[in-house]
Formats: sequence, C-alpha cells, structure tokens
Amino acid sequence: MDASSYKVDGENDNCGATLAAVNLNVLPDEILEFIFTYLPPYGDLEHCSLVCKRWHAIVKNLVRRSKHNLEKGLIDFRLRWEVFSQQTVNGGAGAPLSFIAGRFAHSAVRQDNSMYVFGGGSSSDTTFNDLWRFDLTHMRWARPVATGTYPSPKGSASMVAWRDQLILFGGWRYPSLHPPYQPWCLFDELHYYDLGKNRWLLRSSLSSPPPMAGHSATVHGDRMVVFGGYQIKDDFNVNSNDTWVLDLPEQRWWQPLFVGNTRPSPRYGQIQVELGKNHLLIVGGCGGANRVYTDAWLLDMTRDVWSWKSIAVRNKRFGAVHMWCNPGCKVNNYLVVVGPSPNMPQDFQMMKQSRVPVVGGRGPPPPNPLQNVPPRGYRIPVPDRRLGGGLGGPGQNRGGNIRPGVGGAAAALGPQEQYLANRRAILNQHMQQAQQFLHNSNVNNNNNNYQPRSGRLSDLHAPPAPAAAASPPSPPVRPNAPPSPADGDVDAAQRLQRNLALRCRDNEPRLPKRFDELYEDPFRMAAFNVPTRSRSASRDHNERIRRMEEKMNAIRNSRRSAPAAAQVEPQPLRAPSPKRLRCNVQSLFVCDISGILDSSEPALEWVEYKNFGVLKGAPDRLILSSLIAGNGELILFGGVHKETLTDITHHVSNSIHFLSVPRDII
Amino acid sequence: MSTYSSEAIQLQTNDGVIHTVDIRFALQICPVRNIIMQERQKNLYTDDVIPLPRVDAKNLRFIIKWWTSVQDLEENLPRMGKGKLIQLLTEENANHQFLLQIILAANYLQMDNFLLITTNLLAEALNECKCVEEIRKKFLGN
Repeated sequence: MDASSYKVDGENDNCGATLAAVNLNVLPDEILEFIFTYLPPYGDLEHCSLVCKRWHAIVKNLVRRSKHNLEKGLIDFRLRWEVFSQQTVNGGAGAPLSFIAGRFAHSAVRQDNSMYVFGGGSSSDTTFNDLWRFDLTHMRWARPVATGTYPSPKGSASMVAWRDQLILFGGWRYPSLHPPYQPWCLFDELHYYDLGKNRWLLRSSLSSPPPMAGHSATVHGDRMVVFGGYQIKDDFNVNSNDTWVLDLPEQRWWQPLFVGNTRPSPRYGQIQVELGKNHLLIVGGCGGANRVYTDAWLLDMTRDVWSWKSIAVRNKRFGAVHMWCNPGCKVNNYLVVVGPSPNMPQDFQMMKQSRVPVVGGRGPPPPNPLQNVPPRGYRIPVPDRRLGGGLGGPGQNRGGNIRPGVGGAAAALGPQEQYLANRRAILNQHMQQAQQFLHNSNVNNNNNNYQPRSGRLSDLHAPPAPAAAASPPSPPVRPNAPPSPADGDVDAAQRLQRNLALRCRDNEPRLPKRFDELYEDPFRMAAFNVPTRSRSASRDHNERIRRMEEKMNAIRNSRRSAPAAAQVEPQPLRAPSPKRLRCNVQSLFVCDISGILDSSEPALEWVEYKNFGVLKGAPDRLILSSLIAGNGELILFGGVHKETLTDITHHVSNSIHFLSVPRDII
Repeated sequence: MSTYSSEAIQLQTNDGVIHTVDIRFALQICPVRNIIMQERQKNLYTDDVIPLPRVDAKNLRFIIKWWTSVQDLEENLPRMGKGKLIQLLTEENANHQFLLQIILAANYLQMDNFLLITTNLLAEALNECKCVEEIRKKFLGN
C-alpha cells in the first residue's frame, strides 16, 4: 500500500510518495471526533489515541461520549442490533478462517479488546472444553493454542477475568454416552488460564466448594465471590444460596461469615454484577420448579462480616422474567437483560391466570371476564396463557404439581379442549413446545427429585386429553362448565399440595434440575407427543393457581356476580393477536441500578420499555447465551432455541450480535 | 425547493473567482441557504455575489462537480455518493491533502451528507493503518 495513496474501495492514487504527508491536525476537533466514530472502538481507536496528545484527548472524549450515548440509548430503547456471523465474513485470501461452533451455556468474558468464550453445550451429548478468542479489533475468531492441564468439558461454569488470567470454576456436562444412562456431572474444578503464557493450570485447595453449576461469580479486588448454583451437597442435588470466596493470588477458598438471617433463597442461573469493590448485586435466578425469582439482593462486603440486603424492585412489570436462562450485564448505571419479549402487558397476564384452575374439577373458574379487564383485551393469545410463564409472564416456572393436575383435570378438560382445539390451531407450535420444556424442567425440579419416568407414563395414559393435540388447554373459556369458579381454585390448590407431598417421596437418582429434561425429553416427547402438551397445559393451570390464588380469589369474588355472561365473552378475544408473533425475537430489558449504593432507600427500578423492548435487528429468541459489555456496545453470543431443547439436535447459534447506538451525524 | 425556478446564484471564493451555480446546489450550502432564505422572505432579490471566504476555487469546483453527479440520487446518497466521490477523486489524482481540504470546505459549507461521505473515506484510510507509527507518518506530517 502506497503510503500516501488511498487504498479505499479500490481507488488508486498515483500521486506518488513524494508528496508530503498530510496533517490531519488541520481539521477541527469535532470533525476528527466524527472521523473516529467510524473506527471500530477497539484496537484501531487505541492506535489513534496514541498518536499525539490532541488525538488522545479527542479519543478520550469520544469514548466518554459513546458510553453516555449507550446509556441514553438504553433508557430510550434507541439502539440497534447488528449481527456478525460466519456468513457475513468472506474467507479471505484462501486461508480458511476457523470459527467457533454454536453453543449455549458457555462462559464468556471480555479482556482487552477480545472476547474469550469457553465451553458450553451443543447437542444433546456434546459439551465443549475449548477456549476461543474473538478479536474485537479485527472481528475474527481465533483459537489460542493452550498448554497445561485442560479443563474437562463443561457448560454453565463461571469464568471471570482477573489481571491477565481467566479463572474458570464449576460447571456441568452432559453425561457421556458410553456407558449409557450416566448421570450428569457437576464439577468443582478450578482452573486458571494465563493469557500471556497460554497455559491452563488446575488448582485444588483443601476447602473447596462443592461441585456446582449455574452459579455466578464476580471479581472484587483480589477476591472472586461465587454465589448460588446447583450443587451436590452431601449426595443431594440442591440449589444453594451459599457464598464462597476465592482469594485469587493465593488460590484459597474460604467462606465468609454473615450477619443476620436474611439471605437470598437458593437459586441458580442468577445474574451477578459487581457494584463496587465491596458490593455485589444478585438479580433473578431460578429456584427450581415453579420458582423463578425476580428479586434483587445486595451483598455488603465492607466489613469483616458480610450481610445480605433485599432490594426492592420497582416497575416489575417492565422487568425481564426469565432471568435464569437469559444473560444480563452491567453497563455503568444500568443492568441490561436480554430476554424473550413480553407478549402483552404483565399485569394483564396476571389477571388471566386467575381463571385457570381446571384441576379443581368443580367447574371452570371465571376466566373470561378477566380477559376483558385489561385494555388490550384482544391480545390474549391463548398460547400465552398457556405459556404463562413460558415467555412473558411472571412466575412461569410453576412446574410444581403437574402430575396430579393431569389426572384430575384431564376429564374436565376434555370438552373444552375440543372446543379450544380449533382455536389452538392458530397457535404457534413452538410455544407449546417451549412451555412443555419448561414444565418438564419444572416437574423434574420439583423438590430436586427426579420424576420417575414410569409415573409420568401412567399419568399420560390416564387423561384422555384428546384435543390437546392442538394445544394445551389453558381453557380460558369454559362454555359448558358449571359455574362455581371460586371453589375450583381452592380445591386445585389443595390438590396441588397433596401431590407435592406425594412427590416428595420419590427417590430418584440425583440429576441437575435444569438439565435432566434435556436428557429425558427426547424420550418423553417421542412417545407422548400429544398428551404431554395437554398435561403441561393443565400443569400450567395448576401452577398458576398456586401462585395467584389470592389474586384469583379477589377477582373471582368480583366476578362472581356475572360468571355466566363472562364466560361467553372471552371467545372473541381468543383471536391471536399480531403481537404474539413478535416473541420470536429477543428484547431488551433495562434496569436502573444507580440507586442501590446510596443507603437511603435502595431500589432497583426497571426502565419502562418501548415497543416491548424489541429493537431493530433483534436476534432470535435464544436462551443460555452470553452477554458482555464492549466499548459503547453490548455483545451477545451463542444460545440455543428453547424449543429445540427437547429435540435431539439443538439449534444452537454461533453468531455474535452487537447492540449499539445507531450512528448519526455530529 | 421546487418553488424556485432554476436560477443561478453567484458565489465568490476567496481567490476572487466567481462561480455561477444552480440554485439547488446553493441551497445545499447552509450559509448560502440562510442568506437566500432571508432574501426571499424580505423579497429582496439582489443579484449580489455571495462570498465564501474560506473556500478556494479548486475545492468548490470539485464539490460542484460531485454534487452535480449525485444530485438526482435521493435515498442512496451515502453509498452512491461515496462511489461517485471516489471516482472523482481518482480522476483528480487527489491525495490525502486534497481530501482534507475538501473536508474543511464541507465543514465550512455545512454540507452534512458530503461531510459524512468524506469523513467516512478518511476513517477507512485511517483504519487501514496497522500501528501507531504508520498513522503518525501518514496523517500527521511529521
């Protein structure tokens, strides 16, 4: 390339190298800054900042401004997604570019203009243990050739960056196929990866935490704080709310002392962000069946004895709901979560749930009038109700007592199901599967016990659940149901309790909650395609009953005056709304966490989203992807389609999505 | 814009050369546009020459040439405009210095879309450099 010629877009300048080099310093500051905005904000910008003092100041200003713009864009939801996938890169000059395989539940961390990705799962029997580096400057994947003791294949491990090392801990992996029927493995391995020397080191210490996966970790100074996770403790698989601290230089684990009795409930898959050297914030997480958390906790580490403090969450209706399988990351004063888009207003959905309890068997609860209540009456896509938690509503994972529900509800559901079957034909199949997946996971998670497969089979056979083929019955409308709505719920709730008790007695091999459905779903799905859906649907009902019982009672009382009339109404509302189609993409949820450290009234406030948080160019709805903060943008990678988790081959993604501020002129 | 007949406006650059340009082009230039708008409002139709003290003839001619070749593009202005620009620059055997002059002129004339294209070009040239030294050598002139 001739030093003084343009080599831009094929333009050839033959002016020759004899002309003096130009001096860009003739340009005014804002023009220079504008030019710099065209450069990718990683390596190239750093080069520019090192050229001279003036450029350094301009670049610093630019970085500050782009951070500010990103925050503003987050609040206003004025950002856009851009995708980088292998298809968008041409191989270039013959040498085949190696790129990463699609994966989910991997760990990703950013260090110095590169994103490092480790591990994760791919298909139903593949877990990775490879480390990849994505060079953000050149937008290229590279695979560092590492030496040392390689970690075992694992997913859902926690990886953090500290100084120039990556610290990897925990994780699970798919059972190996041979010998068959092995349980899932959880790991308690601690690995250090030295970026300079490209070497993995396995560290073991005397007191080390139990094997865990789905925990979260952040670095504070010279300590790594690990919380939660799904662990094997004394031969039991439990969710944990323990905190472990790793002294990074000395590679020694210790457990802190806590003051007070309040602690976050045991969970895994939560989002943990560092708020400062001595504070960290835990948001969300999943505590098993029927327990997806949307609460927030602050861990205060300033003194020798640590303490947890529960943080109030405001504007929960604008919050992300599935915060255990969707990633989140911190951007200055905001916590950003990428998740499935809400289909309809959250409060609306809550109302919907009240009508659920089919299980009661005494008659359909007063469902329909509720649907009229929210202003957007027509948005009640039936599948959503069924999905309830599946995608948008709060508290979806009420896996709970599906089984009992099936038996009881099946008969009651019959007629309605058929009625609904026609409607269901409109429904999105994916939704059903997704819900089923959720329910399956929840069922398995019930009290950390594995549902006996035989038990489930019998349940499947018992209920007729005929028309369930079309869709699970969350029959919002019970045209022919006897009108005694109020009792149904109570009865259902009692039934649920009873079934829970029954289920506790199950003694199954310990399997990780979230993962065993992946393992067993293929079998279950294959044989019982139709019934399972209805089963999950009724399960859904039960779950909702349990959660919303008080709300339902309240509403039901008000509705009791006109149950019959109400029942007829919802039918027109059943038409699938166009909004429903939108949930195939991810949407953005932003939460303001600036008000937490000042002690007067710490609270977490979700920012009201516009357009349901769906931004231009949004990626497909995937779970278990990773989100990290880049320079003035957010980087989302990987993930799997939730619906395909029940298939043998998952649809995983290996494309990177950048969320950034759209450019405009100065 | 269409209300104006295609009259010609006279612009004088700092080297004394008077350019007669189409009014549509003149309206792209913000300062000139402001002057013309004001004149129209007050219904003064003077035929005075509008001075552009910070632009010299060569640059203005180039900009006029670019604009006349892209004036009919509406939506694709960034992309097609860039192609046209590169084409014109090659014809002129222009170098970085010339591009800088153009950028300064465009900044003064407040022609935003032209500025967008030219700065993009320069940014790409900047991006091509692999290290700091190269940038210093090429773009800093020392």
